[in-house]
Parts: sequence; C-alpha cells; structure tokens
Amino acid sequence: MTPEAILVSLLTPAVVVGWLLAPYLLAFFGALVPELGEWPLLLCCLATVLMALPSLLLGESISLNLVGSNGISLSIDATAAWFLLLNGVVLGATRLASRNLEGASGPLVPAVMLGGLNTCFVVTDLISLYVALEVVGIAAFLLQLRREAPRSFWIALRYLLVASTAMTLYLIGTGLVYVRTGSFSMEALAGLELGSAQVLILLGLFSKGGLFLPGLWLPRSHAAARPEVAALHSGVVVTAGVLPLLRLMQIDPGLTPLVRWIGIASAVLGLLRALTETDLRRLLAWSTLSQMGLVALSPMAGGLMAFAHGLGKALLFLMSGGVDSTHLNSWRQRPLPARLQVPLWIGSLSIAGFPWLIGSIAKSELESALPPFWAAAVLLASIGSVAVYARLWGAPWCAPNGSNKGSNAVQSPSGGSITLLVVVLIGASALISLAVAPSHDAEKLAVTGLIFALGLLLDRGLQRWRPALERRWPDLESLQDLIGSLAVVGAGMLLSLHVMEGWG
Amino acid sequence: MATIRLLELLILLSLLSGFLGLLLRRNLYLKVLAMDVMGGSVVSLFVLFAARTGLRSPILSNGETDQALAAVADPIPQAVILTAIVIGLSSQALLLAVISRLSVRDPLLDVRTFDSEDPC
Repeated sequence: MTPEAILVSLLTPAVVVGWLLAPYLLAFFGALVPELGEWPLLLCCLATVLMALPSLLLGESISLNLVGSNGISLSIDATAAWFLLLNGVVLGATRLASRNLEGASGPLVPAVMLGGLNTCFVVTDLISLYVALEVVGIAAFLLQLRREAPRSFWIALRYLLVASTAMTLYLIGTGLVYVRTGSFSMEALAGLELGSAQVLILLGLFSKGGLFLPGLWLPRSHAAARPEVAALHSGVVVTAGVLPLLRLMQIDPGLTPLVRWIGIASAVLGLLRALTETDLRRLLAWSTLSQMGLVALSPMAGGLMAFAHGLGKALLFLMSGGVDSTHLNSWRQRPLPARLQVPLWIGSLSIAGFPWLIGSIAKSELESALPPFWAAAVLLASIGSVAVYARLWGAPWCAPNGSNKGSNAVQSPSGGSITLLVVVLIGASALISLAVAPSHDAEKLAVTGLIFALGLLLDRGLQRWRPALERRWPDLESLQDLIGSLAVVGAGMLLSLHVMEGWG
Repeated sequence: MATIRLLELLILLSLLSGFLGLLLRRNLYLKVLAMDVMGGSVVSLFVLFAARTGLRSPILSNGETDQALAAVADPIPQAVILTAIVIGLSSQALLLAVISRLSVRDPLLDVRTFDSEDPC
C-alpha cells in the first residue's frame, strides 16, 4: 500500500464525523466545565488544518454518504480543502490574538463558529448547507455584540435581520428544487432549467458571501467589530457563502454567467468605494467585498484566491487593532512601529498581487482559469487593488515601542497571532511556488510592474478628488436599502435570465 | 389540483406581504414580526409541497397495504422544515432580545434613528 492510500484509508466516516462534531461538543462541555479553556479549541483548529492536507497534497477527494439515499453527503475536495485550511489557520490565530485582549469573548461561540464553518465547507446538499449557514450567521451575530459599544447592538441586529431574510428566500428556492427534482442535493440542480429556484438560492448565497448589493451589510459590520472578530469575519466567515457558489457553478455551468457578472460588479463596486474611503477599517471591509467578487469568478482558482485573501485580510484587521487612529487622512503623519508595519506590508502586498507572494500566485491562477475577457477584467481590478493599498504604504516607520503607548495599546493583538499568520502566509507562498513553479519571466514581471505603477499613479491622482467623490456616493447601507436590494437583485437576475433565453 | 394552486397563491401572497412589511415598516419590532410572517409562510409552503402526494400523516402502522401508503404525505419536506422552524425561533428570540436593549436608546424603535448615527 502506498502512503497516500494509507492516509486516505485513515479518514473513515467515523473520523470525519468525529472531527465535524468535536467543536460543537466542545462548546457544550466548555459551558459546563469552563476550566477546559482554550486548548481544546486550538486542537480542533489543528485537526481542521490536518483534515485539509490530504486533499491539497495528494489531490485525493474524500466523499461520504451518511444514512442512505436521502442522507447527508459530505465531500472534501481540493476547493473545499483551501477553505478548511483557511478556517483552521485564521480561527486559531484569532483565538491566540484574543487571549490578551480585554473583553474578548470566551471560546464557546468561536467553537460553534469553527464547527459551523467546517460543516458549510464539506456538505453538498442544500438543506444541510442552510442549517450550517444559519449556525454561522447566529455565531457571527453573537461575536459582533460588544458590551462596551451600544452601537454594536444595532450593527449586529441589522446583520441578523438581513441574513435571516436572505436565508428565508434561500429556503423557498430549495423547496422549489425539491418539488421539481425530488431531491435536496446540489447535483439535482444540474438537470434543472434555470429559473426562480436558482435565483432564490443564489440570492441567499450572495447575501451571505458579501457580494454586490445584497452583501452591502458587510462594510459597516466588519468596520464596527472588534479587530480579532473582524479578522475572522472578513477572512473566513464571508467565504461560507462563496464556496457553495463555486460548487453550484461546477455542477451547473449555466449559472456561471450570472455569478460572474455579479462577482465582477461586486469587485468594481468594492474597489470604487475603497478608493474613496477615509477610514482604515472600512477600506479593508470594502476591499473584502471586492475580493469576494474575484473569488466567485472561477471554481478552479477560487479556493486558492480565498485562502490568499483570507490570510492577508486577517493580518490587516489584526494590525488595525494596534493603530492609534483609523483615520486615513492623517495616515502619513503618524509613524507606526515595526510590529504593525510588517503585517501591514506583507498582508497588503499579498492582496495587491506582489510577485512571489501567495496573492499574486492566486491571481495568476485565476487569470489562466478564465476566458480572455474576464482575465482582462481581473487585470484591471488588480490596478485598483494596488491603488487601494498604496495609501497604507505611506506611514513612516518608527522605533519599536516608540509612539504606541496610547490608550489603544491594550487593544493591540498579541504578537503570537500575527507571527503565526505571517509565517503561514510566507510558508504557503514558498510551498506553492515550489509546487506550481510559476514562471517569473520578464514579460510577466513587466506586467506586474506596470500594474503597480498605474496603481500608484491612480492613488496619487485621486488624492485631490477624494473628499468630493466620497460625498457623492449614495448611501446604500441603510437597513431598508439592504432588504430592498434583495428584491432588486433578484428581479434583475430573473429578468436577465429571460433576456438570455430570448437571445439563446 | 385547483385547491393546491389556490393555497399556493395564498401562501405566496402572505410571503409577499411579509416581505413588504419588512421593507416598508419603520418600526423595528414590526419588521421582526413581518419577518416572522415570512418564516410562517415558508413553513406552510413546505407543508403544502409535502401534501402533493397525499394528506395522511406519514406514520406506518402494522398491516398497511400499498394502496393506503400511496396516499401518504411526503415526510421529507416536513422533516426538513422542522429544523427551519427551530432556527427561525432562535433567531427571533435573539432579535427580540437585542431590540429590547435598543429600546433604551429610542423607545419608538424607529429604524432611521439607528441608521443615521455614525458608524462605530
């Protein structure tokens, strides 16, 4: 027997189910016996990372079917493995970060979150996905509540209200699928004519995944959350809605144009808003919206893209907890110590697509997996990403422990979490470079150089117009707009399906 | 068949009225109630889907004939919607708990008050 076969044979149904259940049991017993503490959760994170490795290293996908024909089917394939890896790493890092933060939540809700996200990433039927997404939504809501900030109650309520409405629509979609095909599995969508069932399901997933107008709850929620919670939400939680989209696109290629147009619209909207934003956290949140749009473009490259973005964004959000003021207008006047500058530079360079870092490898994989028109759109979007992050690179460096002794020093996350993320990001970049061997030929480097130059120029050019532009944006983030956007985007998708049918 | 169509129409109307209430009402409490109306109509929609094969509860007793089994309601949508009811109930409870906290700041619970405040 080869080592690969032995490794795969170790992953029996009992092991997989035990791994899925462990975080939930941990949350239950953690409430009864608080002395258990943090370590079991960190072990669960490690188990999640280990669970992802066989699929990533060996290319083996594991699928299980529990309890017969109408039972639950699970699948850990290469795409899901990237999301699992991301979940294990980022959740572990945010737990490390919250250990010395005042007022951080205990391990119970994060344990439920870990379990919910793992379930989201491996299930392949619509109803289990619904339950897992609701679990993730409720855990995300609980994590957003902050006793010291009354404002957070409104932000969290708004999130839960929009998410529950979107998931109600999703549930109607699954009901329609069942009536037409007699099954709740995602494969059932393959033979189904495009119509309202798919549109309702997509609406739910768009809203959960922070895509385009239904996902506009995201900037305010992520900007108002505690830094370690925002890191978790922006890094992993939004991807819970995006992976099912990728799976559905693989099963039913007819959905691809619809999802791609929404994805690119989301990428452009996020970039435009991020370019004119004056608050660091909101800039990061808008950038999440735009990057999720890019992740949704291709099922082949989406996993790596989400992994690269999640690591970088978690670093940036953890870093944002340590700065004195998140206002960007005076960013260039405030020196930052090296312990904040290093995560800032590595995280933002990776997302902007600097060569040899994981973000650029993911972006080139994405471009090669897409048809030429879409690849060109991704290239244009990456100019915008550079311009967005160029503003963060202007902060001067200062000596360690220099200025950061203000009131916010308590909120600065521990070095352990940031070190872990930096090591994983650089390690993963090196490993993937070795495995994929991307060709850093002169032509490609020249294109990247051109993108960076254009991005920096765009940032310079925008400096004068930024305040005027920011005031011009319509406010689409009120609760009424968010619920209305579900109706508008749903109606738009149905209409476009009819138009496409007319052309076809 | 016509009865099922009529019921379907009524359920869709209640769903729509729930959605409109959620969209147009300014009071947060009424918004949450409207969401409950939506949730309730989805539950009835699933029960209706289950009733397409028959109206009898899908519980077997000894000595059933195949003919009797043919008129049994589909158990799968019924089982599935049970989970959704529980989830809906718990989200409602959480929403109402937070609303009671928010009522300290604005007893009228007007959405515009909360939306207009500065973020963070």
